[in-house]
Amino acid sequence: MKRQRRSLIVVALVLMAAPLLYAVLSFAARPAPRPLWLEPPAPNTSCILPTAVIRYDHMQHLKNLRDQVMREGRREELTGARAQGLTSCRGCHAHRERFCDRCHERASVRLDCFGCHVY
Amino acid sequence: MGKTMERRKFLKTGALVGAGAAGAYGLPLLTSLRASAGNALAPSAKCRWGMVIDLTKCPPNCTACVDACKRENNVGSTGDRLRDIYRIRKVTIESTLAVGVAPKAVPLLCNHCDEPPCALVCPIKATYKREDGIVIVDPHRCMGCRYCVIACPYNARHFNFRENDQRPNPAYPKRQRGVAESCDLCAHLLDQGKQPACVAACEGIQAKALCVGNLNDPASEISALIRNHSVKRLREDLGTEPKVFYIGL
Repeated sequence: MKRQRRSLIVVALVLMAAPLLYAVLSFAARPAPRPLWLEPPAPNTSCILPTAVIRYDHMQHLKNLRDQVMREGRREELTGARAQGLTSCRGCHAHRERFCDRCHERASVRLDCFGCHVY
Repeated sequence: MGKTMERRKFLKTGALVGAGAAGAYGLPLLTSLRASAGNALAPSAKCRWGMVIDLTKCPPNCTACVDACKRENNVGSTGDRLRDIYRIRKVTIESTLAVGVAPKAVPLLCNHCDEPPCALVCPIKATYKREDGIVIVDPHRCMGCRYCVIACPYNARHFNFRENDQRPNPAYPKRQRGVAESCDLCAHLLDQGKQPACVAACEGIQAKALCVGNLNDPASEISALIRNHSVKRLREDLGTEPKVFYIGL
């Protein structure tokens, strides 16, 4: 009688723990998130700035450039082979969906550049 | 006796220290005030853009400049007359005099005033006058309060009530919903040494009624036009000092 009750308790505990165990196991079995894949730039090209700088400071760079163009009317950096404008990235990174959007979506940063500018 | 001397000495030193401090703090303030006043009085030493519109050469039913502007600057038409946006448009001006003067079709655009009321009322300096005299809207900064639309005495400003989906010129951005819109004299073309779209279109149809140039340069075509013709500006009584001159108004 006593043993029966004890086994009943064990079964009940196992049943109660089952959803939790299932969640833990299924999470462990899930494949690890893939590293962020960005489309490689066009071959034989180099960025206007070193990769680490452009990766972390491109927003500041673009804002400075915007103020320079809008406020001072200096547009010399928007033309030529080393053009630095927002849409000049297109020269090496052809698809915005595989370049800008990839990181910004993961970081939940909403871009409103392309409501007006054509990439 | 000694006490009064002490007091006199104390007051003297106090006055000296006070005068010194006033000088130290006040002098830079005065010089900076003078510098800013100097900047305000001289818009630019090099270039000051203006426009001359020769109404004797402007064909009454022609809209070449309006169409070219819409194509160049991605200004769409909404189909709603009250919401339509124009950077340049043709209006009919009628004389208020009883004398029989025929109504004139006049191209009307932003007058790029030297004292722009729109820039004056803009609470966040999204509208401002560039150093070369062009009055321009920074759509990045504009928050859509529409003060400038109300302030402009020429009705040359419009508001993007809805987003425009027509983009004929991919090299130039379009505007999103909720920013003010005005003629910027095609600053992106002027900065590259090209003519604004309306002027190029007017030359294209051999009318040559529009002319844009540097008002500071006495040898430029626009200065010669202003010298040799009787020119008028719109609503000169308001003191906005517009830089669009009309011949034959």
